[in-house]
Amino acid sequence: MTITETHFAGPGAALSPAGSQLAFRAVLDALARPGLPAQLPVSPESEPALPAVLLPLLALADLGTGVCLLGAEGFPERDWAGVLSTATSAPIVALEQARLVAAAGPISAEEIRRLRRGTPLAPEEAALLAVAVAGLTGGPRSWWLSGPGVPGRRAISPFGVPDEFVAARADAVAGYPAGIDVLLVGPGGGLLGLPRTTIIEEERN
Amino acid sequence: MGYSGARGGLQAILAAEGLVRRLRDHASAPWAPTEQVITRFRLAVDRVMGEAGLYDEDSAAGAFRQAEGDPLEASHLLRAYRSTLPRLAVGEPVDPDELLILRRIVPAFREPGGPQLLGRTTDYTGRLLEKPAGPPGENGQATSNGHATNGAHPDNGARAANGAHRRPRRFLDLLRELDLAVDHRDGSDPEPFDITRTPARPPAPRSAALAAMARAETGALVALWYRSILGPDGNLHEVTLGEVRHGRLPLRVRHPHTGNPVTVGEFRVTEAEAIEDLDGADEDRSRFDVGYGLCFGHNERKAIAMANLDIANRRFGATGPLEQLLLLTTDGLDSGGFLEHLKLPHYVTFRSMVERKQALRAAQRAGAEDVGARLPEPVGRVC
Repeated sequence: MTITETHFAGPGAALSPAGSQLAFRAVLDALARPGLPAQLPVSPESEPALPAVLLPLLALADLGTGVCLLGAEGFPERDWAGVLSTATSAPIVALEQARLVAAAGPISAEEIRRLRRGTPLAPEEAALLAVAVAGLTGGPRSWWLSGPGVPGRRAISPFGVPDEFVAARADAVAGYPAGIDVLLVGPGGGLLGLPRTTIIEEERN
Repeated sequence: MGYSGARGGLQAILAAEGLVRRLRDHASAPWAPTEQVITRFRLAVDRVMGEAGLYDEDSAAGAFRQAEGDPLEASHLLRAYRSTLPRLAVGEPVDPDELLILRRIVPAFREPGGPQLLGRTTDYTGRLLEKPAGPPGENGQATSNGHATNGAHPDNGARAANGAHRRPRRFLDLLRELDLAVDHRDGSDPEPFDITRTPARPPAPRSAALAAMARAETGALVALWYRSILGPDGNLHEVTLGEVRHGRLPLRVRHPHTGNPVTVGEFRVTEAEAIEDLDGADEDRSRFDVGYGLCFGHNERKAIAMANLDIANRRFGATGPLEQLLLLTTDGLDSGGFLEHLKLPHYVTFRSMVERKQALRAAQRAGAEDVGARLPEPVGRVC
């Protein structure tokens, strides 16, 4: 999919309504069909390159959703947290309070366990985590997914995910309906969704 | 929840939707452009904006057209659309004294500060159905009751008036000067309750009740007002209307860079102040109570009902059912949505009810003793 600059409105990184809609749709599709790749509207022309992992946040964040950016040191060319905050009016908050979290680099198990999970009465207050991975395929392990949105079982093999990710995520989603939803974002804006309802069984290739 | 039977029949559902679209969008009459809906069905559009909680005439008019003129359905469409919009900024508090009036009447007092400006109203017009053969002519068209309009633009009166007349002194200020109004302002000015994020439940702050009324279904609010006035709940009222206004207010937000408030638009509101004679044993009988109503657009019925109910809620809300009724039953999407959902398949729900009856009867036939004895049920059963 070729996406042009028209999906960005004006200076800064604010998405145009169309770009925002495409990103929203990609997130919706990814979370509705865990393990099937979706595509974010990345803009190869934007300079300096906007990390694709920020796109879900640019599309979803607003005044009422605290955002948190992890591993921004991997993208020193701009103050991406500031860009995000200016573009969306979203407040930058601590990891524990954030409704939307983007991890530009590898996220630790400890950080995943600190993410906000919501409560059984307010599961919608949980965090949505977008984490950048080196690739959506070609990883050393197979993850067998099952649960709502997966007919039977489906295997994915993301590349560049920390070893302890699956165990930490399992802890974070153990108290259903509270739990976290995860998006794995590849460098080209490819997207895999892991909603809190998905069960992951890890298998070494 | 027993709606899981709503499967299958996809073709039938699509065909039903197609029928709506075809007959609405390709009716054998000219398409009604958004501008036409806004100008000719102004009060319906205003009502939809108020009940949806989104001030945007274009979207409200589009929703009204899409809903084939059903205000509640249009409010539903608009509120659903509202929920998709990002929250970019919080508006600065606005002082209603800044209201630039298009209409302002003070029924309680012949000569209030400033004009009695009738503006655009049919309050004094006989309700005679006009059956024009074609579109009305230009200026000087006689109305059905014989009054000639002399070609006056309805807004002319307001436009011609100077600044002081456009922002007249409030009648309540006069009452306060005469020390005739109970003052409920206690100096604390808490952040208003946001009913769009958290549903308000009793006991709720006044701002929650006011917000709920501002967004309530107009008919539901008027019905509740009438119930409160007529007195089946035993609440006695002696109500006078202090002031009714319709006009424009500025919308200001803080500039993201300078931090200074800037005006980014304006919106029309209807404002009402009701005066009530206090006569309760523990009330200040030497003064009047004052209630406040404010809603989007031109909707005097709603603002007046709201102002009266504001007082009634303060006086009787906590001791009777009024506060609950106000917060829990006046939202049109809430009540209407619950009613509409009854039309969805309840096959599973009903089947389980039938099976319960059959099991009961089978047990009765078997001669069990205590069958049918009532067990206490939790309050608020789910249907």
